[in-house]
Amino acid sequence: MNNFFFNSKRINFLFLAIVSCLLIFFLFQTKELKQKIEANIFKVSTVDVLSIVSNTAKSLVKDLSKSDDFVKDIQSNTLLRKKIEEKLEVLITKNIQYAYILYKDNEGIFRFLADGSKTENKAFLNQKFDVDSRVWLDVYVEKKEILINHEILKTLSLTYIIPLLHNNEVELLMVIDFSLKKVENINSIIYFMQNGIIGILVVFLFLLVIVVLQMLKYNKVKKTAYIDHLTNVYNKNYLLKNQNNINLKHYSLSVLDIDHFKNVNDTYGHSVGDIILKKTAQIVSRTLRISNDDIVIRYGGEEFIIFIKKSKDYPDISLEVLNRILENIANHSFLISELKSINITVSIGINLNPANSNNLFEAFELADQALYTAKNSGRNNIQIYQEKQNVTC
Amino acid sequence: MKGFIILFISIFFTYSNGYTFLVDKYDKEIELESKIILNIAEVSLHEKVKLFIPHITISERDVYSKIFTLTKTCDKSNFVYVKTENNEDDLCMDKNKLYFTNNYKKLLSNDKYFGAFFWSKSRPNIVFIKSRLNREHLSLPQNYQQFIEDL
Repeated sequence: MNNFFFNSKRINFLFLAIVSCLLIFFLFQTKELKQKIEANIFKVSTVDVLSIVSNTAKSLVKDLSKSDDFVKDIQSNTLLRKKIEEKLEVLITKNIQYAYILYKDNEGIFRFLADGSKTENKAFLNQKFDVDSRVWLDVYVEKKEILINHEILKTLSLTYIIPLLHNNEVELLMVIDFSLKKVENINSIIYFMQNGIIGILVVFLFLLVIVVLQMLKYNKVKKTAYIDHLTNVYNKNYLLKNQNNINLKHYSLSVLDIDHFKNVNDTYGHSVGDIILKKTAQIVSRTLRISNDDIVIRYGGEEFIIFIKKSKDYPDISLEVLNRILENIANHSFLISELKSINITVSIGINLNPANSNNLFEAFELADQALYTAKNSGRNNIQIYQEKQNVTC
Repeated sequence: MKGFIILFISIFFTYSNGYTFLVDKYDKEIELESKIILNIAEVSLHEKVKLFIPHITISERDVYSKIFTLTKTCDKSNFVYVKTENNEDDLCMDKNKLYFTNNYKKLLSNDKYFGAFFWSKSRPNIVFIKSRLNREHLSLPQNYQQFIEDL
């Protein structure tokens, strides 16, 4: 089947492709949106905490302002260490799991100098601390705070490292570990939003599937309405529906009629007549198949209308195709029973320039006149309509 | 109906992770710990490791038995990993064994332990004590040198 249904299939496919692309785009956008929201929520929810921690760090540096060697003084002065640990202890909340101060020894190993944790989790003075990333060393180079996002550690989400400077050199690291609870709270908000968006997309997809199914159903019904059940070519309804859609400038219009079809029906019965009609339509369609833009319509009874697409490179294409149809039908043996076959012929009238007429039906009338001439010229021939006279092909 | 069943099963499997509490939860932390202990035991011993863990839990047994030969008593082992807070000082006085712990305090207080693997600020930490390694005539590979402490 060509033209109308072919185009509607193409439109459906295009529609589905565009919608699928849009859905994929929205899905990726959701992911990106999630990341943006996550970053913003993190920023908003940690900014105050980080400011407080930074202020504590400044306060600690102030406490150590008279010290020439932070590490030695804290190691040797128990009271100073206790004071620092009290300040660190204040920072520990539901969301901040650990607050501690580290130093790097001569061998480059990190060790605890003060710990705000309670007795159970409290690290010993000078206890070795294995860091989990090289980023910790970068603080000594950058001399700036750094925020580490943990993905592997089971109970920690973020680590905030603040360098404590002495003579513009990093002497100590103040470290804050955020518990997972902080991230879990933020993530629960994000997941809620993300699930909402995905839910809307799923509902949209569901509705879309229903629309597509309805479209397919509608097309199927429409196709049934426009296809002749016996011959499987278009019927008169199709012609009526698309009379304004067929651009007559691009086609020649031919009318084909089976010769002596009434005799066939009268002699062999209507079932044989149906076989002849079916086979004739098949031969016409198969002959036209070289060009997908051609249209065959069973106009009524044993009469078919054929629209053959014109070719600029090959002006005689319509006549050549019609000649092939004429020959193929004439040479075909129509099997009407297991043992018997008959031969039939067709007559064809063609209007090479239907666009010269006011409308399709006027153009059809002219082709029909040529057909009438063909019938009167002994049948099994093609007549071309030309103004005031017909030309035999 | 078939579509509904497939949809139901898909949703069920998608969210099945949330129902693992119904069965024994597989502990990733124990798995990581077991692999680290295996590495330590293998570099410390030059024979097949026969591990004994006092008061071992069922989930620990499940994980450790996959990569270790576990012994039921201390006597039959050659590597003892003490994880409990209980006083295990009298445990298995045989000197031909290596003792390891998951408690830094225990490591400092009892010199029979040559090292410890423990969680410090939720991060895995390993410490070996140099004098005790020497006492046991243990020499660790280069990549373990960073964990050796001269206490």
